[in-house]
Amino acid sequence: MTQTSVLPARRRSWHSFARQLRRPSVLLAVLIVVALIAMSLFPGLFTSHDPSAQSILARLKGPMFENSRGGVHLLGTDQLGRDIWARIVYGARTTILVSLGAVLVSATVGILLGLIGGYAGGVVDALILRLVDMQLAFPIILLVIGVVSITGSSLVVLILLMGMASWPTFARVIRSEVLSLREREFVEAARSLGASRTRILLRHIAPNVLSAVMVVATFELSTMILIEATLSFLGVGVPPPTPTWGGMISEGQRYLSQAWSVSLFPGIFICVTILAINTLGDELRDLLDPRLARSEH
Amino acid sequence: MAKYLLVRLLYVLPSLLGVLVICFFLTRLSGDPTYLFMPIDATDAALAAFRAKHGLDRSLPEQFFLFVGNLAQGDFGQSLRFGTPALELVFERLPATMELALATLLIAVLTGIPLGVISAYRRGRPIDVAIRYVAALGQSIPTFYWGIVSIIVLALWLRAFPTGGREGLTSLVLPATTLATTMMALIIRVTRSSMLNVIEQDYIRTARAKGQSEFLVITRHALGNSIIPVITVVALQFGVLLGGVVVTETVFSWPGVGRLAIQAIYARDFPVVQAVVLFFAVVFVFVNLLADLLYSVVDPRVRLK
Repeated sequence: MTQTSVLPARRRSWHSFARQLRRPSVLLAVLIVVALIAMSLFPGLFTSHDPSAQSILARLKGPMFENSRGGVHLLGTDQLGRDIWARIVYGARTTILVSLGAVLVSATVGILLGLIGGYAGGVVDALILRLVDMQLAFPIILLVIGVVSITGSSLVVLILLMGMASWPTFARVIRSEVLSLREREFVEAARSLGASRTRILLRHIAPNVLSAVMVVATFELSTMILIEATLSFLGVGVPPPTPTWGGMISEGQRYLSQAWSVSLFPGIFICVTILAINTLGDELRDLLDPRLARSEH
Repeated sequence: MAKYLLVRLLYVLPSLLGVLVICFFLTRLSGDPTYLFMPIDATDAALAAFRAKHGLDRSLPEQFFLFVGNLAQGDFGQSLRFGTPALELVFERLPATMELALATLLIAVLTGIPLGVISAYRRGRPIDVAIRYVAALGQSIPTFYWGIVSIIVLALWLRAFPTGGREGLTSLVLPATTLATTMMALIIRVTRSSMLNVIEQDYIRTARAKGQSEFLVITRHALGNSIIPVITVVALQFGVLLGGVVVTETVFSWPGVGRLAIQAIYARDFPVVQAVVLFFAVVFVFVNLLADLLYSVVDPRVRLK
């Protein structure tokens, strides 16, 4: 892709993306993601229940339970009598906030190190590669649990930790992109025109790795949702009473034999969300980055 | 070969040392664990003795060099909770984790590779679409959730398997299938795309042309040549699998290394945490080394140098 062809290629991408929307699975994925964003921005539109309102009389009730005031609990209630559907709706905000934040952090670190390593080469590159190895050898879950058990858990700590623990994917993909880009004619042209290394890196190489970044970011987003849920499940995620999907499953696990619905429903939302984002990621990859594309198309 | 191994081993040393440094300083960040493990009415002399015994009275750099020095002699320190050597605790739990990991790997490979091959061979047909949905679903279900759903359905409703613990082969079924799901999905995807590339090669046409049976064409010629990416991806994803081990062992109360790690972290039992994390890091590094060695076994053209 030379610089002159960047724009038309992108326009073509969006055109074919619009065409992909005709496929039911892609359309469904887009609708799900839009609904999730809407949920996290305006939770009040989706439920009239307060996610933290407790009721001793309405503990661990099944789906469609009608309380004494005539209110219906669509998916039932949890061990404190709180509405499960409302907690799922309000939990979407936490999930999206933490996962998006973590992806932003890991993308920033990963892209920076990937650009530097790929372009500088030599000792710097070797050093960054060793860092990647080190990070990969350290199970993320253990790292986060270890730190959180020390520092205590909060949204900010969680976002920073999850982000810092998952930059290698970005770094590796960006590095390999840069390795091939830096040998291209337009970079050589810029170099022979006397452009500084920083200028070449930021003005000529960085814009060309954007599509790869988009693709990696999408898949990382679903990974982060998975990790956030896992951490909440293990009790080291966002502290209660803030509703989180993983935390709800964890709380429900103790009451599995009495009320399976407490654990079951939040999990369905995690699966559907990840499935939708991965579907979009696959489409995005096929459109933006033919080199990464699966061979089935 | 021996030289290659030596170079590779030297190569991983800095990585392991880095893991060690991070691990050491992280566990010491939380301050003095003495009060956590000694009775409230312990005398100052008893507290000092505890600190001296575990080296907690020295400066951080001193503690670190002491730690590395002991490590070189195979001494990971004593568990603050049990007073037994930390490494011993890890090895005690190892058989359970190995059992789980092997069963998982077996299930994932024995289902993932055939499904991936069928999916590629029947590309675009209903069976391919179905298998790809299974793979997509497998990658979207969090391990712990899959574990809980299988407990609800198979253990609580159908009473076919125990809900947790480690007694006999039946107790292995749920944890192993739970942990295998993500890996199976991954293997299906990689096998499929790798097979699709190979199936179009000339030597496959040649194999068919010389009258080789279709089964042999697919299993020997095509699969044999598409297995390398599968090995790479499985090895690289091993870190994720180790994370999954921690979760699965917690969900099913499986008495393995992963559960030990969680318990040690919650109890601030530093030596055990360090031993487990380092152990996981070593396993990860060696699995990837093993994958590199496997390449040359699978593909004679690969020369190790």
